[in-house]
Amino acid sequence: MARLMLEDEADFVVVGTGAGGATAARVLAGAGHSLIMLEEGPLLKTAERPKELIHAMRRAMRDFGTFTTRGMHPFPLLQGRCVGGSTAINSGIIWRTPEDVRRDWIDNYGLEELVEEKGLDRAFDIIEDELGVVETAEEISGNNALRMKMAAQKLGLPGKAMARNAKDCEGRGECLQGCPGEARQSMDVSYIPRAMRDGARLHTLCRAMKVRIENGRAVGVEGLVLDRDTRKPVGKFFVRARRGVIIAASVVWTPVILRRSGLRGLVGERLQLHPGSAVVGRFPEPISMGTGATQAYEIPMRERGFKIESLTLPPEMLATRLPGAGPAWQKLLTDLDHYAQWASIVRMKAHGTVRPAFASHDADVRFTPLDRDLKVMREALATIAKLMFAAGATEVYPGIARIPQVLTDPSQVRLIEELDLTTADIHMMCSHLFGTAVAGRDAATSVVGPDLQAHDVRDLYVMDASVFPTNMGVNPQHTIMALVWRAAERLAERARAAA
Amino acid sequence: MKLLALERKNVHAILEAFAPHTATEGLVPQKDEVDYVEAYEIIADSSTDRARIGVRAALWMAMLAPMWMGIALCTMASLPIMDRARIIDRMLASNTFIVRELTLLLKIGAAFALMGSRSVRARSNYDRNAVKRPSDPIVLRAPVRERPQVSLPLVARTSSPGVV
Ligand SMILES: Cc1cc2nc3c(=O)[nH]c(=O)nc-3n(C[C@H](O)[C@H](O)[C@H](O)COP(=O)(O)OP(=O)(O)OC[C@H]3O[C@@H](n4cnc5c(N)ncnc54)[C@H](O)[C@@H]3O)c2cc1C
Repeated sequence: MARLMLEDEADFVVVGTGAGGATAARVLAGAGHSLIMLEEGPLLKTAERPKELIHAMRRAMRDFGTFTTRGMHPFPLLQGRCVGGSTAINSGIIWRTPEDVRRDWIDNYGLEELVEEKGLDRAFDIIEDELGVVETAEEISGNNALRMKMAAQKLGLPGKAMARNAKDCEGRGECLQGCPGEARQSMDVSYIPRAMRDGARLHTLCRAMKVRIENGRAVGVEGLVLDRDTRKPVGKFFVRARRGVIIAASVVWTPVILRRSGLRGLVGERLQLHPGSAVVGRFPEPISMGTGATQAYEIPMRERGFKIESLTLPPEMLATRLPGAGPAWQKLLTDLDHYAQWASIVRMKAHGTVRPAFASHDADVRFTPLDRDLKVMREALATIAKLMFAAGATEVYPGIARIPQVLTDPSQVRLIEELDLTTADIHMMCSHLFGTAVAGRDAATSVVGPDLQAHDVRDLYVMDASVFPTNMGVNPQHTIMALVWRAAERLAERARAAA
Repeated sequence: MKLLALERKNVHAILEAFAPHTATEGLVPQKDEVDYVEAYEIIADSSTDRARIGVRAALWMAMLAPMWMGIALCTMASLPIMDRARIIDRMLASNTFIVRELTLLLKIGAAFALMGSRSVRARSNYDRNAVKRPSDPIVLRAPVRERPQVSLPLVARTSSPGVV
C-alpha cells in the first residue's frame, strides 16, 4: 500500500453522506460547528454522471447491486456508494412516520423524547420545506403510474400520488442514473453542499474502518483511502473528533464499523427489511415507461403488510425481467414501450443479523423471511396481477417459478394465490433496511439511547436507519432524516453549551 | 476480471445466443452490433468477490451445458447459435434454483449489452413515444397523518459541491 496518510481534525466527524449523515452534517454545520464528512464512495457531479445504465450503476451503486444476503436463496440489498449515499439513486418518495410506528417506539422502546409528536412534525416541516416535497403532478406521472391509478380506482384500492422531494421534476425517469435537472433533492445536491457552505469539509474515497476509542470516549475515525477507479486502498487516514463521532454508514456498514471498534451486545442484531418483488404487464397500447417520474403512484396497504408502487424500469432491466431467451424473448423485446411494471414492498416480520465478514472488507448479512412474510408477498404479487388485468393488460408476467411465466386471463391469478410460495420461487430485492444498532432507553435491549449516543461509548453517535427499532411499512428516508435532525439539533445545543 | 481465451469466446457465444442475430422475428441485433464481452467484464469487475465467483460459475455452467445436459461433447461456442438459444431457454426454466439463478446472471449481462447499444435500443421502441413535459408542482398533502399544508416554497436549489 502506498504511504499516503491523511490527517484532519474537527469538532465532529460524520461517517457516510446518505440520508442520515448528510442531515447530521446539515444541522451541525448549520449550528456553526466544524465538521468533517467521510465518504467511501466518489463525488459524482450531476453533469458527469453517466447516463448509460451499466456505467451509472457501476459508479453510484454499491457493487453494481450484487451485494446480497447469504444463505440458500440470497437476494440483493441495493445501496448507493457515492456522495449522497442511497439518496443519490433513490426515487425521492417521502413518507412521514406512521402514527402506529411512532407510538410503538414510545411505548416499547422509550423513545418519547426522540419522536415526540410536535418536535418530529417540526423536523418534517423543515425538511419538506428545504427539500421541496410536493405531491407528484399527473402531467409528469407517466402512463406506468396512471394505469395503476386507473386500476386502483377500478378495484377500490386506496391509491394516491406519491409525495417526493422533487419539486421541479420533469418526469425523465432517470432517478437511478442521477436526476439530470437536479430536481430530486438527494443529499449530494442539497444538504451536503449546504453543509459545505457552512464550513463542513468532505473527504471522499475514505473508507472508515474503526472508531478510535480512548478512556471510554470516541476520539476519531481511522480508515483507508481508496483509489477512485480500482477501489483498492492507496493510503490511510485518521480524523480526530474533538466533540463527537457520528456513524451513518447505513444499516449494513454501521454495525460492521461498530463491531470492528470493539462494540458488541446487540450491534448487528435485529436487522429488519422491506424486500420487494415486481410484476410486469403487457398492454395493447403504448405505456412508454420511459416517460414520467421513476415512481409516481402508490397503493399503501399497511394493514395487510405491504405497499404497491409504480416503478419505471430502464430498458436493460425491463428486458431482463421479460421471460425466456432466444426468438420468444426477442419477440417480447420489440415493443418495449408497451409494458408497465409495478412492485410490492413487504413489511417483513423476520429478524436478521449483520456481522463483519471474516478476513475481508465485507459484511455477512443473514435474513430468512418467515412463512408469514412469504404469504404477505404472495398476496401482494397476486394483487398486482389483478391490478394489471384491471388496467387492461393482455399478458402478465408474474416472475414466479412453478407457475406459467405468462398469464393471459384474470382467472389465472388464482395460481399465484394458491401457490405455497418459497424464497426459491421469486426474485426479491431490498432497498429499505432497518435496525442493527437500535435505539432505546434500556441499554440491555438497545445499542444507542434516545439521544442516539452509544450506551457504552461516550461521544459516539449512530445517525442512520440502523437506529430504527422496527421497520415501518413505508419508505424510510424521511423518518431517518427527521430522527437525525432532532438528535443532531440537541447535540449541537449540548456542544454549544459545553463550549 | 481476466478472462481466458476460451472463456472470452464462450462469453460471446452464450450472451449473443439470448437474442440470435439469425432470428427472423422480433428484436434482431446484427452480427457484432453488440459488445457482449465488455458488458460481462464490467459487471464482473464491479461485483462483490462472491458475486464475481457466481458470474464466473455461471459462465462455466453454461459453457459446459451441452455436456451435462447430454446434448453434445463440446462447449457452447461450438454449437450453432439457435441450439445455444434453446439450451439457455431450458436453463432459465430449470427446476433447479441454482441453474435458473446463474443463467439469469448471464441474461442480465446479455440485456445490459443489448440495450446498451444505442441502435438496438432504438429498435426496441422503448423510447418511441417518449415525451418530457415539465409541470407546475402542487402543494403537499400529508402522506400519512393530517398536517397543515406547506405554504412557502422552498429552499433555493443548490448546485453540486464544488470543493472537496
Ligand atoms: C434504489 C433505491 C431506491 C430507494 N427509494 C427510496 C425512496 O423513494 N424513498 C425512501 O424513503 N427511501 C428510498 N430508498 C431507501 C433510502 O434511500 C435509504 O433508506 C436511505 O438512504 C438510508 O439512509 P442511510 O443514511 O441509513 O444510508 P445511505 O443513504 O445508504 O448512506 C450510507 C453512506 O455511507 C457510506 N459508507 C458506507 N460504509 C462506509 C465506510 N466504511 N466509510 C465511509 N463511508 C461509508 C455509503 O457509501 C453511503 O454513502 C431507496 C433506496 C434505494 C437503494
